[in-house]
Amino acid sequence: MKPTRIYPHRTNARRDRRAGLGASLLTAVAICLALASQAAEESSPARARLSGEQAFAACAACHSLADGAVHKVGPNLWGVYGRAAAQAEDYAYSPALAAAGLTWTRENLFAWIAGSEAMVPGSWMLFQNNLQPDEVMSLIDYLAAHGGTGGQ
Amino acid sequence: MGAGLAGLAAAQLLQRQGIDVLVLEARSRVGGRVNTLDELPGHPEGGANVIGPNYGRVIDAAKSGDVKLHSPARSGETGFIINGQRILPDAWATSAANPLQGPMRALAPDRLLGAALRDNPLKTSSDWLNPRMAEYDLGVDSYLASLGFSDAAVSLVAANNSYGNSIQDTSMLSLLRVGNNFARARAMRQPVYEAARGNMRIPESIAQQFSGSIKFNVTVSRVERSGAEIIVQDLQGQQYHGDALIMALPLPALRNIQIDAMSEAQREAVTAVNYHKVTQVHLLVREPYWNDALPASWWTNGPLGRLFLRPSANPGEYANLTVWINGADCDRLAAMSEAEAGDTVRREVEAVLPEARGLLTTGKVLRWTDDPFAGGSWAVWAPGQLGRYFELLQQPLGRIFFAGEHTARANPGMEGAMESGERAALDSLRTLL
Ligand SMILES: Cc1cc2nc3c(=O)[nH]c(=O)nc-3n(C[C@H](O)[C@H](O)[C@H](O)COP(=O)(O)OP(=O)(O)OC[C@H]3O[C@@H](n4cnc5c(N)ncnc54)[C@H](O)[C@@H]3O)c2cc1C
Ligand code: HEC
Repeated sequence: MKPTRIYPHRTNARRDRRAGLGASLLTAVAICLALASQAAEESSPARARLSGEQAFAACAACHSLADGAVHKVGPNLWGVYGRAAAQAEDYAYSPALAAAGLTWTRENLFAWIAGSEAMVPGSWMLFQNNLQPDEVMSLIDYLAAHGGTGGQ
Repeated sequence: MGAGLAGLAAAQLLQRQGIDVLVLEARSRVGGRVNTLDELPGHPEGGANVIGPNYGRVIDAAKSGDVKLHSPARSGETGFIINGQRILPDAWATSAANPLQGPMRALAPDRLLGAALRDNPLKTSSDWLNPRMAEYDLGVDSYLASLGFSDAAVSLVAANNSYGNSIQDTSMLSLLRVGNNFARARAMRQPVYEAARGNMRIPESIAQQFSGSIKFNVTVSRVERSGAEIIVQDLQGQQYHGDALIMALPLPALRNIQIDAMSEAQREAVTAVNYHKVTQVHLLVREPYWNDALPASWWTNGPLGRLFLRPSANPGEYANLTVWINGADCDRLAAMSEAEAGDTVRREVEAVLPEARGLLTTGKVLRWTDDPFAGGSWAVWAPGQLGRYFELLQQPLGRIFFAGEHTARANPGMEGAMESGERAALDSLRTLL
């Protein structure tokens, strides 16, 4: 039977678009890389690191991130960076987070994303997906760029 | 692979990141173990029914697709049928048919477990996977006995246990996990939900907004890797090629697929973990058999399991009585034709509820265990299995990734399915960028 191609013009175009570089140069590089690493690729393919915006895909179902946007199951995260915890208006936080006395510094956000329930026992954000530490750092930059204040 | 909630969540996330995605689905519909019975009055759920208040992904999928959610109608009090004998809810504590002793007699059979979960060592939603909790990875029967439960109490808990096919084979960690989730949901003081026109509207709406394509009636039977490419073959021999693959299937369905690169250890994990046996018989109720003195819903310790009344949506319409049979009690019905199984169960319901005689017709029989694309309702973990198999079951094979409810850490059920799809999508995205 005739095989169906899922991706007729595979990754190159996509890579170029994302990198925002000249297509021909990057295509050539990509082909060389692809040939050299084919065997290794099969068992442990190269893993890129997600940008902050890409990592936010793991949060977007529960959090909006725009000034004045409606809350989802979690609060709108606009301006959360540098702010005291549990301050979004019209959002019913867990008593545990409301009483935690935290400020969303980089360190605290890092710990929260890595293990919110362990950080604030009795809190209500159930999130356990394997974001990598450097991805979480980019994610925090991304949050900071959306209405963040002071902080550090 | 798989257009259940896990596969759809993964497909949607990847597509939004600019990846070309094709979804292969064995059935002719999306939703998998979400399965609203649209052909029956009141469109009852044949699969997943309750949406928890913290199901962020499921609720978001509903809201962004204009799928209306509401709280399920209350079905009133539940009566008990113990060894064939009916006991009204108020009479339980004093009934001669109540097999419990001492202060425990006051606990209704469906409350016993709650009593056992009161001092829950699990504090977070993923503590059930925490190696420090391994001491609780023992059979529920042993744990209950250590709390002083009598044999009679243990067998009442066992009668409608949803987390194993026998009480010995059910890890206490599964029940402690459920207890932790219930406690949190209670603390949230928010209602549970269902989609007003059926939970199927949720996966349907994700599928509708998905701009990649979904191919139906494609039963994948083989997966192999050739260089950096992954080749998937269906039962007709049709091949599909891609850069990465997410297998978002329940384990019994995965067992039927030849995956060339899979290690012995991983294959063992795929084979060893069982799925809960559930058979549902949906009976249509022409007019109420219940009244102020007779409950509509019943909890039995016999082969009928539990009888849940779902009130009719509009006055004058049929109500739905779902007979929810679980564990080994499903076995005798597996050998019968659907009509025979439905009528057998209907007659047995009429025998314990003679008031319902003549008011019931058989609507639909769902035998999840015998469904080759599900193989049961959800993964059930026997003592020793979580530590040995949980991580292994989601270990990628190069660019082949595994998703599905059984790979979720923080959330159970529908939300767990979507959580796992999200995780697998991000894992695969890292290799595609
Ligand atoms: C009776 C019942 C009641 C439930 N109640 C609840 C509840 O109240 N709340 C809750 O949250 N959850 C509940 N659940 C669990 C919930 O339905 C599941 O956890 C969730 O829907 C699983 O999603 P999934 O995507 O992991 O798997 P599935 O939904 O099973 O999706 C897998 C998909 O893969 C397809 N497939 C299988 N084999 C192949 C193949 N070889 N090739 C191609 N495709 C294939 C299947 O057809 C299916 O569409 C219930 C389940 C059942 C059965
Ligand atoms: C399944 C839903 C869900 C997901 C996914 C989720 N969150 Fe949350 N989040 C919540 C809930 C619910 C709360 C409120 C917790 C409480 O009240 O205890 C919360 C709270 C927060 C807060 C505190 C907000 C405040 O105003 O104090 C931050 C920060 C946060 N989440 C960040 C994230 C980030 C970053 C991600 C993605 C990596 C994420 N969340 C993923 C549900 C979620």
